[in-house]
Amino acid sequence: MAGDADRYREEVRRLVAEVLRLPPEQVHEGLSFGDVAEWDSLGHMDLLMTLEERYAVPLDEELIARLISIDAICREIAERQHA
Amino acid sequence: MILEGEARVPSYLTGDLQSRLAYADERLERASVSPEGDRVLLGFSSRPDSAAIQAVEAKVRRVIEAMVRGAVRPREKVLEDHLDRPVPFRVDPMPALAERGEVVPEEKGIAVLGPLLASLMDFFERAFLDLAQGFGARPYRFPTLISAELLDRVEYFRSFPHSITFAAHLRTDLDVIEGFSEAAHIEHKALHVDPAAFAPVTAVLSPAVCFHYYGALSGARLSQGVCATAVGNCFRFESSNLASLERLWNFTMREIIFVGAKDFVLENREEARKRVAPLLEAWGLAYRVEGASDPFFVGEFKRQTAFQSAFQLKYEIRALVPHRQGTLAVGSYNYHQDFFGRHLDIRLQDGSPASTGCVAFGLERLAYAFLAQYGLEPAQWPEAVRSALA
Repeated sequence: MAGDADRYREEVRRLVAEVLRLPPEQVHEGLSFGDVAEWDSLGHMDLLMTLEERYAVPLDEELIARLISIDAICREIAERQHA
Repeated sequence: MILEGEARVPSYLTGDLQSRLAYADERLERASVSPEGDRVLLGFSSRPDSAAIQAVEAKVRRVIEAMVRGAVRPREKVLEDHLDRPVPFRVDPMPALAERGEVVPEEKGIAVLGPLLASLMDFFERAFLDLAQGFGARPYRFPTLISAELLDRVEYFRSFPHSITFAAHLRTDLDVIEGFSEAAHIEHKALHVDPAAFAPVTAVLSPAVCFHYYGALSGARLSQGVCATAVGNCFRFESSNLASLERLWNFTMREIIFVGAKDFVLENREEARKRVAPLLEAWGLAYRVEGASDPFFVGEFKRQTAFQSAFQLKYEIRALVPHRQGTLAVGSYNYHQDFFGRHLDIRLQDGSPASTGCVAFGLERLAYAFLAQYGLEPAQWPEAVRSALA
C-alpha cells in the first residue's frame, strides 16, 4: 500500500501548494498540519474540502482529524482509488 | 414572512443558524427555522417595503448558504450526563428576580444584579478559586479593555467580528471635545454623536479573560508548563439574541489557564474536568458535558466548527434550564492546540510553539441556571449551597 501511496505524492504536493497558496518548493513530503502558518485550521478545512471535490474523500470528523499530513492524505487517496 | 430555502437546515444547525441570522439585517427582529428545517420565518421590526424584503431575503439566503451547504455533522461527544438529576423548580426565575430587584435591566444585555445573585456568584467564584489554587495557578488581574492590536494578532476580527464591543473616545482636539459636549444628546435611545469625533480605535472591551495572559507571555520561552487564573468582565454583543441572564452583553468569567507542552495542557484540562464534577454534584446541578465549538461568524463557521469538533477542542458544561426544557452553557474546557503559541510567539525550550488551554466559568449563567433549577428560596437549595450562603 505504501507503493500505491507513493504514486500520489507529487500530485498531493501540488494540490497542497495550490490550496494553501504555498510555493511548491516549500511543500516537502514530510509536511503536516501546523508546520507552516498557511496549514492552520482554515487551511486544513480548505484542503479537506478540495479532497472531497477531487477525490471523493468524505468530509467527516474522523478524516478531518486523521488526514493531517501529506503522507496520510496520499495513503487515504491510494486506498480509495484501489478499493 | 416565510422564506423557503433550497437547502434544508439540519436540526444540529438550527440554533447556530438562528443566532447568526440575528446579525443579518437591522430590520430583522427575529428569524426562526421551522422544525422540518425547510422554512425560515422572518419577523421585521417595522413594515418593510418590497425592496427591503428583497434585500433582507438576499442576506438571509447568504447566511443559510454559507452555514448549511456542505456542513459537517458533528459527532455527539458526551463526557458526563447528569441531566436527569432531580431538581425541584420548573419556573422561569426571571420574573421573580426582577420583582425582588435582583435583576434591574439598564439596557438590553446589561443588568444590575442584587444581593442574592451577587452572593451566589461569589460562592461559585470562591469554589473556582480553590480549584485554581489546587492547580498551583498564579492569580492575575486583567484589564477590562484589551488592545485591538493583540486581538488582531490572534485573528479575532476575522473569526468573531459580530460580537466585538469597541472602546471609543473622542479625538484629542479642543474643538471636537467642545463640539461634542455642546451637541451630545440621546436620540432614539442612542447617543447622537458625529462618528468623525471619535479617535481611531486602539482598544476594545475584552471578549475573554485568557487572551490577556497569552498576550503577556508573548515572546516567552517556557522551561515548564505554567498555570494562571483570573476573573474578569467579558463583552460579547449578541444582537437580538441578548436575553435574561442567559445572554448578557457584559458578563463575568473565571478562567484557569494552562500554557506549555501539549500533554501538560490536555492532562490539566482533563484533570480540571474531573475536579469540577464533584463540585457540580455537591451543588445539585443537572448538567452534561458535551462537545461544542466557539461562536464563529458566518464566513468561518462551517470550517472552524467542523475543525474544533473533529479535534475535540471544546467541551461545554451545559446546565439544564427546566422551564424551557433546554440547556445553557455555564462553563467550558478548551484546548487551542498551538494557535496562540504560534500567533503570539510563546515557545517551549526546544523552540516549538507552546500549546494553550483554559477552563472557563460564566458566573451569571451559573447562578441563573442554579436558580432555574432550585428557585429563589434557599430552603429548597442543596445543603452545600444553602449552608455556605447562610
